[in-house]
Amino acid sequence: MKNHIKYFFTILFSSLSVVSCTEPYKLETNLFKDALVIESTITNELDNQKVKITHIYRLENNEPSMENNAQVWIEDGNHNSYHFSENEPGVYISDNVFKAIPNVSYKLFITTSEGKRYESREEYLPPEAEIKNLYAEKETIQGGFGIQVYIDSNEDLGDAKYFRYEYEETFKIITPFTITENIELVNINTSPSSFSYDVLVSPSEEEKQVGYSTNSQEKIIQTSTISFSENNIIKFPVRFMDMNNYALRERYSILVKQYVQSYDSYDFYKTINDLGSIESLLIENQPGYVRGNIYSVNDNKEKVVGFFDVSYISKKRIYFNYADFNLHQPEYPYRCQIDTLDYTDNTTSDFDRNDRTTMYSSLILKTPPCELLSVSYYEALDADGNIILIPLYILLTAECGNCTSFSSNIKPAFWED
Amino acid sequence: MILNIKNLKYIFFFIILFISQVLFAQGNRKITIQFENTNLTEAIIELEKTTNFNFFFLENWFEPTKFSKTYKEVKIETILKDLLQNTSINFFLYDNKIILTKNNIIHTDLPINYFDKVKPSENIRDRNSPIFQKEYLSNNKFTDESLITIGREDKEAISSKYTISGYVKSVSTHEPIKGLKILITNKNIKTYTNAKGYYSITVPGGLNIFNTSASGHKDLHKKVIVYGNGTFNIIVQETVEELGEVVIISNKEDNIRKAVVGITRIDIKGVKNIPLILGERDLLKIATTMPGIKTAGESSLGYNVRGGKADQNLILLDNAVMYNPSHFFGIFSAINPYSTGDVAIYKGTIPVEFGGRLSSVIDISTKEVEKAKFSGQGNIGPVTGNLTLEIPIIEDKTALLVGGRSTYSDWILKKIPDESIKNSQVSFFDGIMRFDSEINKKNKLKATAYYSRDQFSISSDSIYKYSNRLASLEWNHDFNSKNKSTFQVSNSQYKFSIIHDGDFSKDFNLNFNIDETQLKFKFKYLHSKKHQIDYGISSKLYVILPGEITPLSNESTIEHKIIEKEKAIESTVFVSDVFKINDKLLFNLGLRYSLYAFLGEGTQNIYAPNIPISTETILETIHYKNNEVIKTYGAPEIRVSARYFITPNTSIKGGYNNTTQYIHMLSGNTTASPVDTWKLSNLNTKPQKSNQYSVGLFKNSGDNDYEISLEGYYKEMQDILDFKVGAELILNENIETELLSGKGKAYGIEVLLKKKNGRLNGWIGYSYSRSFLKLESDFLTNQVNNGDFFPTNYDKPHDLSVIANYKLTKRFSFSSNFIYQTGRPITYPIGKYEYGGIEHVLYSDRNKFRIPDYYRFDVGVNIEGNHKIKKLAHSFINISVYNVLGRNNPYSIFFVNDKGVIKAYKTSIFSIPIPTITYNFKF
Repeated sequence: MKNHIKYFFTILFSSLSVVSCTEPYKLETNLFKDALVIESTITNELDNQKVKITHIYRLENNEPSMENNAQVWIEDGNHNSYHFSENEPGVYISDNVFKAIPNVSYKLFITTSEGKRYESREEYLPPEAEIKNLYAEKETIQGGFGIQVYIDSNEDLGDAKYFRYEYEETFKIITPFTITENIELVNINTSPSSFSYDVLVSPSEEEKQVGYSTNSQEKIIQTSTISFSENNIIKFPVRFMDMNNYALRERYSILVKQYVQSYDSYDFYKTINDLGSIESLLIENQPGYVRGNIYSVNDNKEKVVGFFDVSYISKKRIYFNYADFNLHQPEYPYRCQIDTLDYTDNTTSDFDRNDRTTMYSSLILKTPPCELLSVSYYEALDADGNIILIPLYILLTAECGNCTSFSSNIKPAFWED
Repeated sequence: MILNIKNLKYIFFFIILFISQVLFAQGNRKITIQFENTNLTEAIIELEKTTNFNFFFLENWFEPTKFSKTYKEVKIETILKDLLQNTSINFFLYDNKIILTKNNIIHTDLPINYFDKVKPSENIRDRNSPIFQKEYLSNNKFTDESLITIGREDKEAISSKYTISGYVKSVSTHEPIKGLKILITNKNIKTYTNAKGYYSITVPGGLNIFNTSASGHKDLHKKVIVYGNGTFNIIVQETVEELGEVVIISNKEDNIRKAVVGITRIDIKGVKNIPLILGERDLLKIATTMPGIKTAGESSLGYNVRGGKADQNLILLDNAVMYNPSHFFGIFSAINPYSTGDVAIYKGTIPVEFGGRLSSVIDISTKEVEKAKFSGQGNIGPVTGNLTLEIPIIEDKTALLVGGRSTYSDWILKKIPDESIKNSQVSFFDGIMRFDSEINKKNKLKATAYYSRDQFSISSDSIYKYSNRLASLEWNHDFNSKNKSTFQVSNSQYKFSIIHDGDFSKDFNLNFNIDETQLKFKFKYLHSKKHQIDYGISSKLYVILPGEITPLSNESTIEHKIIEKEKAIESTVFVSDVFKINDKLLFNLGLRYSLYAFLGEGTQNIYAPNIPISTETILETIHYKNNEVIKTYGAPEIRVSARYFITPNTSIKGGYNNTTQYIHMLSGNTTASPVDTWKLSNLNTKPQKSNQYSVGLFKNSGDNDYEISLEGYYKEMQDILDFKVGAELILNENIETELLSGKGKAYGIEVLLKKKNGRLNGWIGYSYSRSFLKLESDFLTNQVNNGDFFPTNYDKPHDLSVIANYKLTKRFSFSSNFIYQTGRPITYPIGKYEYGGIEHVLYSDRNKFRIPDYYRFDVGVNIEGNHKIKKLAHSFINISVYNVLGRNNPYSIFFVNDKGVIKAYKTSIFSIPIPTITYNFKF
């Protein structure tokens, strides 16, 4: 509803744009004050549980800084303590595997490297709920035709009312061309007077044609059964793909994780998600700091971001591709350009005698550098009348032959063909 | 008062005044008096003693015959008519003066020495020199207040033609008026005054209805019975349109005299000269130039009065509550300026008869309908057209006002060569009808109906509509001169709907509807000069349909959902006494008690104690039967104020005011919107309460031309509703789980300097005011800003308005506004964080920063139509330029996450000078 209204106002005021105006405004960035960001969801799955600790970062920056060397542990209501160790910067993994069990409290403790102490509220495992079906159907959503992935929950959810979903999609991609050789420029001399390099061609051993890309969701996906007439979730849309999405070109797989949440954690995620869409014109949702369930022991006015969530998890994975829905095969996402570089091209009409500069820029300056599709040689006579072999390099846009330029050539362990 | 002959000239003077003002001079006071064996002279002296009328007469006019008579609760006219019925004496009533005159022509039974005294004036009668005496003698017979007789009555000669001559002067300047048309409407004869204001007209004997009309002057309408040749001098009043002043009516000295603290009155006449935005006169916009009354932004809904929220104002249009007095998101007000009489805004002590809102009462009255003649007013502006007609049905008794205003913005939008705009639709209209009937002297009836509707379809798939519907009926009955009563019944409805009809799987129709009906009986008891008592009862029924969503088609995945109806009754008793201790000290003591009952049918959630309420903590849901009382709240409200005169034109006032509010607007946004829902207090939502202390110093100077006031207030509010961040307020069955409640605090100083008359007039208003909210809770998640007081969204400490009008000539006048306000507080993003692999923005404490200050300068010029006599209508053209300086005032600052980079943008609504031209006419 809110989004409708927001949209409405956006348009309303664009209609008034004759007189109204929107212009960039100098962003005040010296208001920054550091705060800790703690992210952790422990589940009923027996595994190494994870706690991620970062810091907030400036509006003009792109990367959070990690909290290193903190002491992290979880205590449960049965007086067990689970110690966590830093596995990679900011990410702390429990030393031992454990799982959350019903009716036992869990509480997170953190002492930072600076000695500041933080504690969460006690949390309990929420009621269990399973994903019963995960399936995809052809749909038209907001004028776009494509594939919608839905989930159904088990029939009676009991007391489980709040759900958060995460998905991870993996799809196979096959490049239209096969690369068998690597090309490399060596002994490069870029001084303007004597610009020169040597070309090195070697056989390629790496798998470059078949790749697997993995994406995770771009926003928090949640639902609740509170307003439903029946106590189950039917056909809840998780992910929509347009029919032209190249992820459907070969084989697509989606893993959906369903987390049962408590009301408070549901509310926390929902609020930060709502505030995520901060664009508005006339009607401005009241923004503000959203408090989770983690507090500073030393100063309860200190802002701490995050919710220590204990959640019941359920997962399901499915595979499909365009053919399963009688769609046309989506086009390859990259335009493939093939350049034949001829060393005998002595004309300077293109300001590039022997195409040397083109090769240099295609292989050194361009990212990712072009791949060598093939090299062939033909015979010619040199100035002395000797027969020499002149190479003819055929270069290809990297993404059209080398999947590692945009994807990964490592087949995931779970992958089923 | 007994006059000797020298004083006769004063009598004449009064009579001249009387001719033009006879309509206004009415004594309505009721008198009870007994005469025992008195003669007429003694009786009149007796009358003078018991009433506050001053009599002007010559003692020897009366015969010494004695009589005994008793009058009970009758008007002074009745007594005099009766006493004088067998004499040759006539009387005029003017203000509190009664002038007795003697007619020596018709009657024969005159006192013997009469001619000796009056003859000097007879002697100077001269047809070529119209002088006071002549007028006096020729106009001295009045059969009723507006009937004038001219000439000596001679029944035989009534069919002949006679010549009436005289002059026409302006009441205020005493200048003769040239070229004025005098029309005998019932005989279709006309003439014009000459350069010196003189006229002469030949009319048949008998009843002639004199009509004068000239632009810039009030039309005169007089019944004249012509018996012979004579003189009829006319004094006309200039109309307010002509003066074009900003008139803030406060009945001259009301501002210093009355005990009420913190009242702002705005007269429609004042609106004319103020520079307009898009050509609209807007009473409520003018109100915001007064200290203490603000809006959150340039085009935002609602008013913030003395640090109160936008839902804390009781906006009444002829006693019926108006939920949304705005069109087009507050850019235009929904009040038709031509049908409006005045606006009184009570922001300090609120009269006991009003209640149910914390901050103010904005009491808008439509104007009393002109009962004498058909008239109309209208304007054509760039966005809207407006026409208001006043139609007499039974002359001087019953009349009807019909007004309408509509926009042609749709047509304008269609002209904009942009696809998305072309397909948009923005339209609004409002219509008003008022019916006035004076059944008799004791009973008056007034009925008002109003409807306004806005419709927007901006994107092609969503239509937003909202409408106000009001109806009210008022019956005034006077029991006697001391006891008066008013009975009012009113009904108001506000509704909005959102129709989404784009993508058929999600199409829906969402409705909200609020309906309230009030009955009120109020009585006035004029006990004595010391006590004036008002008392009454009222009862109001609220019915809210908080939301219903229906799918528009079978394909829609939207489920039909309806939030259960809310119903409540609010009943009140109230009494107040204006208690005059002495000439200097006056008390206004008021008490109101309101009893509120939230009624079934419905369900209410009981939440577990000591933990934050949420859908998780519902212990049980109780169902209540229809009309079962679910929860009652009651509260006494004290409304007291006092005035003390330090000097004859300087007073100090103080007041204490309690208010309680049982209905709340739910708006999770920083500013109000037309699609905000309202909610009633129930088991889980307490009524809001407020206490206000106010003091003021008021001074008038320069014959009340200047008014200076200095007021201060301190206000505490309890149980003010606020909302959790990201609250879902529409279609929420457990809405209380999204609400926070806290304490409010506001204080301020308001200064107003007003110059009411003269070529240069206007006002300067300044206020320094603060408004805070504290959302404290035992649960940290329900705390905002750590439970400390923080500035509200509408906390704008400095607010300066300068409104000036300058009248250059009769035809040209200039006006200008200057407004300065501190920028409103906003919540700023202070950093980013990553959560769940997604980047989010961390906000500062609420309202920690402010947007840049607001200032604006507008100018306007009014050009009156020419003063030609023969024309269809009186007209004037208003040309104004809004925001002359082109100040790019930020309406809001917002932040966009553009691929991981947070950018700030500033939106301005009227960022460039906006010129408008409006044609106004009146006939």
